[in-house]
Amino acid sequence: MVTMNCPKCGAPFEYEPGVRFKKCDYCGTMIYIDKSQVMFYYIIPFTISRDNVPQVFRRWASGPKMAKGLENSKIKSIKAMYFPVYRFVRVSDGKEMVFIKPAKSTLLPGLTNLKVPPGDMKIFDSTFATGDAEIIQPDLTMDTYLPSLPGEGKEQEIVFFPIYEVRYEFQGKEYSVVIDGSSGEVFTSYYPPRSSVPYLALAMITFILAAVGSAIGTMLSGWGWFLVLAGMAIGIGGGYYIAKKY
Amino acid sequence: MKLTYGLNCPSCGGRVEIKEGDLVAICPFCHTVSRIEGDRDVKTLAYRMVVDEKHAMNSAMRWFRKGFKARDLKKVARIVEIYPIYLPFWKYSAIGLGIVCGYNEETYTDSNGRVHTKKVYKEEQIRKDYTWTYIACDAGDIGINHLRNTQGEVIPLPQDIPSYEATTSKDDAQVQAERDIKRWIFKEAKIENVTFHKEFVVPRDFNLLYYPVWVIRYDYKGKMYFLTVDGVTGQVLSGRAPGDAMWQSLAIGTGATIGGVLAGLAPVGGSIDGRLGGLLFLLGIIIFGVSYYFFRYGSEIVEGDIEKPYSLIEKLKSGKFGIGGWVVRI
Repeated sequence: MVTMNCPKCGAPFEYEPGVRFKKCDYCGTMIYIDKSQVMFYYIIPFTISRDNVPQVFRRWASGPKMAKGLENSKIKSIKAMYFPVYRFVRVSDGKEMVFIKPAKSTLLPGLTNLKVPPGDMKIFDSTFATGDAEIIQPDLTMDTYLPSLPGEGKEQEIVFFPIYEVRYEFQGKEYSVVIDGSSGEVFTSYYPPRSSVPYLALAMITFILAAVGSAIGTMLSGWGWFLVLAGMAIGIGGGYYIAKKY
Repeated sequence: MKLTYGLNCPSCGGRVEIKEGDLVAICPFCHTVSRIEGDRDVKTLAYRMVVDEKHAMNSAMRWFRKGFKARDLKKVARIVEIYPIYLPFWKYSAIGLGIVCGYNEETYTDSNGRVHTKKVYKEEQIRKDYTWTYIACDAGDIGINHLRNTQGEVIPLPQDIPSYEATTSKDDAQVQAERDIKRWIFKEAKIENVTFHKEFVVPRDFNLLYYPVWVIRYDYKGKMYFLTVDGVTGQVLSGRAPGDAMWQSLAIGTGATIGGVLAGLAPVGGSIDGRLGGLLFLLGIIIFGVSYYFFRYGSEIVEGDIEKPYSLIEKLKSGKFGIGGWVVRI
């Protein structure tokens, strides 16, 4: 926790991220915290524990777009990291603008789409326990961006957000995903997809049997309606099989 | 370089009570009126959490049984964790004023059985209160972009519940709010062919609202899903849940059959009236499409503002379906 002092009476007060106005507990002076000239170090703690990461991964892997059986992939490794991004708040023509810029060049999936994930930001100092998670050091300095940003600086900060890098093996090939350790969102650039072909093929069979059957039923012979019923049976039975297997 | 400034009366140095978002302050000692130039002219407020943990759990249990989720969800699901958070939202209240002119086309049949189309000219004046909300941080996988409820007991932000930081620009939010409200005013008029329209947004209040939410993570057969419960109303706001192969197969079996039958009846319908045939065929295709989407993507049920892979309407609207730019009015 960072302490600052009241400019009027000198009493210390604790600072929380996101706070700009603070009332001094001793003299009652309203204190304004000017963040335009300093850089703050913030960190978002993990809310998803490492033990729950395989379950989060399996939930994602069982999604309808992913290859069937992906949820049973072998998890090779789970690595906890705090990943840095810069967040700049600028004021130009009286308008506030927010810019998110990379602090670290990375090949991790999904992290090229920059953002500050949702979370309860804390001041990052020596009192913050990071546990076994690795702190990824920034390799790009703030000065890389400052000259090119419009307007005047109001706030600048580096935010370390929690991620898990999960490496998994599916059908002999290795893939990886990144899981946001705060909200559980899964980022990925590539995963083995599920084919829509069996789904669409079955749906078409049922549809065509019903269409042909009802056309025959109304125009030629009542037997056509049996075709409709057969299509429906194939749709329900086959549908159950495909939903389970493919 | 100074980091902190004491905000005292510039005239006598006396202590002045200022709350965030105040525009002027009057010194209680020398009565000097000072204008406050806050660097973020937004008032921060929070709603009191009224839903307790038990209530949130009950909402989750009811939600498990609703809709096309796995049939054994309520029995098998095991709640792993449940915790409250405060989520930041930009909240913009305004009076919307607008005038929309144009005409609707109405068809009628005269006494000789002939169909005519006439233009009915309309002029609508709109005056309505609007409240716009949007999440003030990245939405992540929380799935709550807009608030369903904008009423609550206003309190200072509690320190005992974690609150997520607002990280997006207030001015961007304000611009978006005004744009959205103007669109709502325009829609309110319900005029098909618009010849003239003008909308005004009279701002009333712009706040950063911290809204209480319960996050519940649960395990279903080794997979971790989640849901969120509104901390004021107790309603489920968003969530992910496993689907059920039985619902999927019933959807395709009945949907594709009904769709197919309608399409098959199209030739007969067409022999009665050309338009009836076309209508039957179109309806059949739509029913088929919807049931196919549920069949294909129904293995996971998502609710709230999480991106839905099977939402046909969303896909049509965004043009991702390959019908780029084709506007569908629902």
